[in-house]
Amino acid sequence: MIVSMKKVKLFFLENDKDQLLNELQFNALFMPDKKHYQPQNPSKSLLEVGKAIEVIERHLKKSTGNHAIVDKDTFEVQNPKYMELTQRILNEQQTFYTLEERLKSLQQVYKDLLPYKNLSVSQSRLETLRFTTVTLGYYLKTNEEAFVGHMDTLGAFSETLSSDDDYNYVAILVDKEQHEQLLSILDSIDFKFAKKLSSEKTNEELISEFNKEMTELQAQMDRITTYFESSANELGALKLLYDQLLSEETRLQISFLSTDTTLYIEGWVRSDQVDQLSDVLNKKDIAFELEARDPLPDEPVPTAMKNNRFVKPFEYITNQFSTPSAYEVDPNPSMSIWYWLIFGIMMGDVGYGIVMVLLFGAALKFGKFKGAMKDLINVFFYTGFSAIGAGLVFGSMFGATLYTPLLEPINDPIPMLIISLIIGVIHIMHGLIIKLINSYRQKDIAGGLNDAGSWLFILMGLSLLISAMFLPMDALVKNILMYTSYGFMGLGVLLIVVLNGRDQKSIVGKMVSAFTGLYNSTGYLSDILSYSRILALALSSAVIAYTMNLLADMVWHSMPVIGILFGILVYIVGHVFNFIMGMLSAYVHAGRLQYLEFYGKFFEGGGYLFEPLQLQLKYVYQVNLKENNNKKNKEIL
Amino acid sequence: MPFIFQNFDGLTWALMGAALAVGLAGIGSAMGVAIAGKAATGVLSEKPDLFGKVLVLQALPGTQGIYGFLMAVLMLVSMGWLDGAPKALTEAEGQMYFAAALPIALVGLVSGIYQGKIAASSILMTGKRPEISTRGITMTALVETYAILALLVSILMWTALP
Repeated sequence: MIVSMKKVKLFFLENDKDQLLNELQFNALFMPDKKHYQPQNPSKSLLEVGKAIEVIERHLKKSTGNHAIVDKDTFEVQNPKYMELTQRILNEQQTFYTLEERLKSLQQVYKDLLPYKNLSVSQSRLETLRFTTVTLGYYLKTNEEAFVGHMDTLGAFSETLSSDDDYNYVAILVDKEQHEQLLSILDSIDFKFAKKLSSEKTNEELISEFNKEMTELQAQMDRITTYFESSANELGALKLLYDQLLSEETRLQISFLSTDTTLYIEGWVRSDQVDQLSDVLNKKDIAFELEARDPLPDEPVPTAMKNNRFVKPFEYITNQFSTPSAYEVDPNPSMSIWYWLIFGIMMGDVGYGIVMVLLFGAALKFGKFKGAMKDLINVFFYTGFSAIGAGLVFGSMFGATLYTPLLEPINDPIPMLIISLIIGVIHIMHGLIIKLINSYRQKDIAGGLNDAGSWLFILMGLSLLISAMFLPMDALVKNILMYTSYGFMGLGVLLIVVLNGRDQKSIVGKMVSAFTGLYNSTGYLSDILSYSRILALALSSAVIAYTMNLLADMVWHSMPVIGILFGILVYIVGHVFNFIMGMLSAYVHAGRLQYLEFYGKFFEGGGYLFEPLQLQLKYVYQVNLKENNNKKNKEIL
Repeated sequence: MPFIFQNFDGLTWALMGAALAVGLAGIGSAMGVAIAGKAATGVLSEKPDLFGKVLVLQALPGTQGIYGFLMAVLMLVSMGWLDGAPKALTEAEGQMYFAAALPIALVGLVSGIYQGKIAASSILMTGKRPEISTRGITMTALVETYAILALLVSILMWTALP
């Protein structure tokens, strides 16, 4: 159900500002108005801690320190030690980058130099020769003959220093006058020059020096890496600090308005939590004055929903469509049951249902999921049970038929088609009833009768007529039913004809409206037929499961031993595939039936969620409030 | 009846039907998934975190191919092809098989491609506003309705095949 809201004005003294904000945030009861929020840039320390966490996590195989459950006292105090640790980590990271860069450039130089290791003099001495020049470089091995020939004709002296698979690395000694000539020859055989390196030392010395420096760099880098890895123990504390800073950030966004002597803040509180809010503040000895009033007629009120454990996760599915407005009936209790039922029929297999219950049940128990993910997993966990139920009706276990079932969609789809359409009619009528309630609440009874009441009568009449026509019964009863159904349908049509044109002034306008109102019947027809997808999807998952069994069986018998192995493989892969595709289809189409066929009848939406000022938890799973220990520990999502 | 088809026996007609069901619907899905995939890779290059949401959208046009496959297997089963003892269908009976395959074959081909297009635009929308990707899923699923109806008609036709 949708909880009514109170607009609250809180007055307090400037001294209590921080403590008050703190309490508001921990207890998550109060949603400040938008005007109190002033966007702030994330602070430097928040960014730094985030970066430090990222650095450490990069060096870990498995992220640790998530999902901690801490007490309020622990959460309230920031430990400055970990801010220092953050600095240290970031500094080390900086050093690491510098070292890494140096190492990379060294490696490049080293790689370029290595082929010329055998050059016996230092390169700077080559520059100082008076009559000759020495050129270093390499050419493709396939050009070797051409190169040797050219060098001979030029009278140059060349020495092959080394060679690898493709190239020969050479030093060429030639008279200074012939240098230009040499260059043009080299150009013609695609000769590449070595990078010049002016150093007093011989290449061999250089190389061994480089080697030494690189080992040293590597050792330093290893030391830093080890440091990062050993800091993994501190990761939990860093993540706590991050969430503390993040929550503080949210508090800093709040700005207050002031009177002469006090500050005040305006916002929304659930009407059943106003007393709780006063209690919390009283306990902390905060001097305050609380003014609560009902919302004004045209005020946009945030929507707060209060539902039981089964319905709550389904709120996510509605909110994905649109948040209900605060003035309408909460659609979630009705929708959850239909979604649960239709999803289950679409999966329609005992085996898949058991897998869903086990898989998502385990995820709920052991994986600490928050927010939307947790809701979805809950939804799938619940629908696992309806899938088992539908599977029992179909007698299907991983596509194998266990016993003679109540319904056999594969062999005889017609009864299942009829059931799907009946589900559709009841579902739509349920939607129309909610529309009636909504119209009654908004004092638009004529509109409700026109939009919903009329079609309720028509659909009821049609259902009676069809059951009278096809179910075996006494002739008298049959006649009574037939005439009742005519009466219902007539009444429905009459309501539309009379009411649909109620805002039109002219007779012609009223007639046109009456006609367009009746024309809606095509919409209802297509809505009801749309439910045939329940059959189609149940069939598709059943037939594919059956096909996979068939394929696995064929492979199993195809050859000894290997066939059995491959058969098992086909069986597992096939069913995993069908399970995933079946879940996807059921999720999409069960949702569609709610969004279009069901919500189309009554849902207004366009509200905004009640999002109280609360702790922002990215890593920490929950913060326990000590005051609430007598109740259940409050879980902050 | 076009003259080139006149000499086919019943079993060949039935097999051609199964081939069309899995073939055309498969082509439709392959094209649809590829169209959606092009948009998906673009979005992922900017926002790799959206992989989960984008993948769901990309997978949606894939169902037509599955429906076609399903229909083909159903037909192969009922003509006894998988047991190794195919029924001796008359030409008229084979043509009934052929006709039963047509709805999902034709609608699967076209709806797969078009669903791919709407999936691609929903993926682009998800890239800009990830929080409303469910609405994109719903809009994409609207196209699939017609493939589901076609599958249903194919199956209803199949139930009474000889």
